[in-house]
Amino acid sequence: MIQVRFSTSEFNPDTQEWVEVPVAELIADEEEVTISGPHADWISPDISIIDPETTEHVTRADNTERWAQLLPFAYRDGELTVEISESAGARPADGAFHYPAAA
Amino acid sequence: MDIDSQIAAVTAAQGAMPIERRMLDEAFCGPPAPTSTPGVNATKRLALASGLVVFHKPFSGVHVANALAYGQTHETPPLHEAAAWRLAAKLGPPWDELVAPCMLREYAGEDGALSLRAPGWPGDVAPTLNPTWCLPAAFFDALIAQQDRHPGNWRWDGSRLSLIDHGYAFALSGQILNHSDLVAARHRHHAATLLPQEHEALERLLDDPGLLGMANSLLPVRAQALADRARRMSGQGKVLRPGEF
Repeated sequence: MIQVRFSTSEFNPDTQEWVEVPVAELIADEEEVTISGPHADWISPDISIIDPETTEHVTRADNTERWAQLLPFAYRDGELTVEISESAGARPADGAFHYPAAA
Repeated sequence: MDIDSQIAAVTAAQGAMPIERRMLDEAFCGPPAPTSTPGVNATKRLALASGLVVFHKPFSGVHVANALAYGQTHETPPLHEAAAWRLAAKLGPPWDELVAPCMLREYAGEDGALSLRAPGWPGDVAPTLNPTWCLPAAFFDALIAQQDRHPGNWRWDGSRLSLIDHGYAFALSGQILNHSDLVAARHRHHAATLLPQEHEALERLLDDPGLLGMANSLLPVRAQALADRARRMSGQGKVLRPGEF
C-alpha cells in the first residue's frame, strides 16, 4: 500500500516563515485509489505519468501502486510537495473519493 | 554548459515588462519553503520583497532521467520554461496573459528559471470546456510542442486560466507526448480551425528572421522545428493535433 501526501505552503510576511497547508492524501492499494483531504479535487486520478526509467506511460489502471509512486513526476512545478511512503497500515480517511483501478 | 548562447539570448531579452522587472529586481524575502518533492526536482518556493511568490528551478536540479525520457537534455527544461514565456510575451494578448511569466535568474548561487506563481488551483477541467481559454491555450501548446499539459500543469481560478510548467516543450518530431489535454479538447470540440488572430500571430513569427527571438533562444534544431510547426499550422489553417511535433 502506497500513501502519498500532498501539501503546499503559504508565506507569512509578518513572521517571514512558510506555513505548511495540507492539500490531500492519496492511498493506493492493489485494487483502488482513495483521495481525501481539503483539496482532494486538485489531484487528478486520470493523469498518466512517464516512468523515467522505462519511458512507459503509466496509468492508474495499469498498476495502481506503481502509478502512485510516480506521482512526484506529474507534479513538478514546485507548488505541491508530494511525499511518498509505503505503509501497510494506512487506512483511507472518512469522506474520501474512491477510484477503482479498472475504471 | 553547451546552451550558453541560448541562455545569454534569453537573459538579454528579459526585463522589458513591469512584471519582468519586478521578478528580476526584487530581493528574495526570507528562506525558501521547506520542501518541494525531494528527488524529482530541486525547485524552491520563494517569496519576493513585494509578496510575489515564485518558483526557482535550477539548471543543476533537473532530474536527468526524466528529462532524457522526454527527449530533453539535462539543461533544456529551465531554458524552455523561460523561452516559452519569451514567446508568449512577443506574441502578446491573449498569450502573454495565459502563460505564467518566467525569467532566468540566479538564486543562492544557482542559475535557473524563476516562474511566477499563477492564481488558482490545479486539477480543474473547466478550461477544457471553455473556448475563451481552451482555444488560445491549445494554439500555444501546439505551437511550442508542449509534451505534458495535464490538469496539474495549469491553474484555474474560476474565471481565468494560467499555463504553467513549460520545461518539457519545444519537442522534436518523434519525441514523447504524455498529455496535451487542451489541444485534444480543441480538436474534440471541432474548433481546430485557426482564428484570424492566430493566423496573424503565425505570420508575425514566420516573417521575423529571428522568429521573435526564438532563433537565438532555442537550440537551432528546436527553433527550426518551431518554424516548421508554425508553417504547417499556417498552411493547414488548423491547430496541429496532439503529438504532431
